[in-house]
Amino acid sequence: MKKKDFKHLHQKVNKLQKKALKNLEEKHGQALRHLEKKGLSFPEIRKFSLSFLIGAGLTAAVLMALPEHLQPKVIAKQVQERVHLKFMAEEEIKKFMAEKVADLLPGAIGKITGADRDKICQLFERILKVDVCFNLEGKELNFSFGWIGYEQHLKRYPGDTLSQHDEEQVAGIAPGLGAWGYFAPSKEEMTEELYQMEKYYVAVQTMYLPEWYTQTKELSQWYKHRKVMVVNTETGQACVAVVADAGPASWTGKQFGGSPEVMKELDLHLGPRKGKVLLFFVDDPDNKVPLGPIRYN
Amino acid sequence: MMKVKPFWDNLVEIREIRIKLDEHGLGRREKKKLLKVAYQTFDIRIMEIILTHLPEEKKQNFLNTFSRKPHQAELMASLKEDIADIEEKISALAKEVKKEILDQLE
Repeated sequence: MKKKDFKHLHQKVNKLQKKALKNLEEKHGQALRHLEKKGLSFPEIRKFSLSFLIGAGLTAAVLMALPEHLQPKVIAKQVQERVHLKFMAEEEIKKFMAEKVADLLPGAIGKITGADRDKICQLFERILKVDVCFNLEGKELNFSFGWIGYEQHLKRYPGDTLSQHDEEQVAGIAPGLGAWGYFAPSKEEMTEELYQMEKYYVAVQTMYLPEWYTQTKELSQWYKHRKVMVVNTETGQACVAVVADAGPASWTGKQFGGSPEVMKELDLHLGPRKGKVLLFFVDDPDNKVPLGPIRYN
Repeated sequence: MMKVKPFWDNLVEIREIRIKLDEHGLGRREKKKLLKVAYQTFDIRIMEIILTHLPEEKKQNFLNTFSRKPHQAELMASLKEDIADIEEKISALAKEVKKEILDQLE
């Protein structure tokens, strides 16, 4: 579904909601004002503020002291998790995350399906405060859990050479261009953002998407420099990157490729230089999530 | 913020709305946004029917309790004493609202 279609549906349902609210205000405005004075406002009645407690540095003791009606199980668990995490070192948090994810992962690589896909996304959203999902705007890769392999640097502009890349020169530079060509038409037109994109890029198998050959242009535009988050499921290390190449070929047995810097941040740059990862889309319309490793602390 | 379900939540059934959103191939985040507005529409309409039928002298007490414990099941028990067939009224209204939302999602 195209984004404009979502907007259209949202507008229609929103109109229905606004009409209902207007009607309620006209008929029972006094009651609504009474509720507002008590801290409950329509239409947001399904939210209760706990921020004053969390901001003050909740302890488990305070949490346990909350009246039962303020302790829905899921929320209490989230708050306990935060309290727990507050006293953990980054390495411990990564381990904690890896263990939690391991419980939710399917045995084999592939798409994450069922209720677990939402649980995994919500887990990272809660802990990392990054909006992630496996299906964004109706687009989804064939694999969200798979093997990632070590890629070479990409040429960023005509005349780019390996020696001009400041890190991980041991990786070499790909002889051809990435699937979307150069990052800039010339060295002079390179920006810091484009340098970061080459540094933190991934390759995904767009060419195997079932709709690729019927919607090539649209999909190509959508996937170009699409922001993603890659998580090493063994260690919990995470890195935000962009899609800048297509691949790897299916015969390699891998489903994703990572730039030298991405692989280093995931601690997959040595030995066999591959590992199992989760790859999420990052929902970041305002481009606020920076590329690079995610620090848990 | 923590999420709380109002005491009438068990009378609101949105399975068909979820199916409709799935049919549209919407992403998780988009579905979440639409479901949020759908739930808000249910809540507004249900509160309207309650306030419309509830005797004036009972309103303040109801609103005070609701503002503190919107999830509390005892609220329904209390309403049953003041409004005949309130559960049936809410269920019927919820079906009506669901149909209106589904029409918008066509």
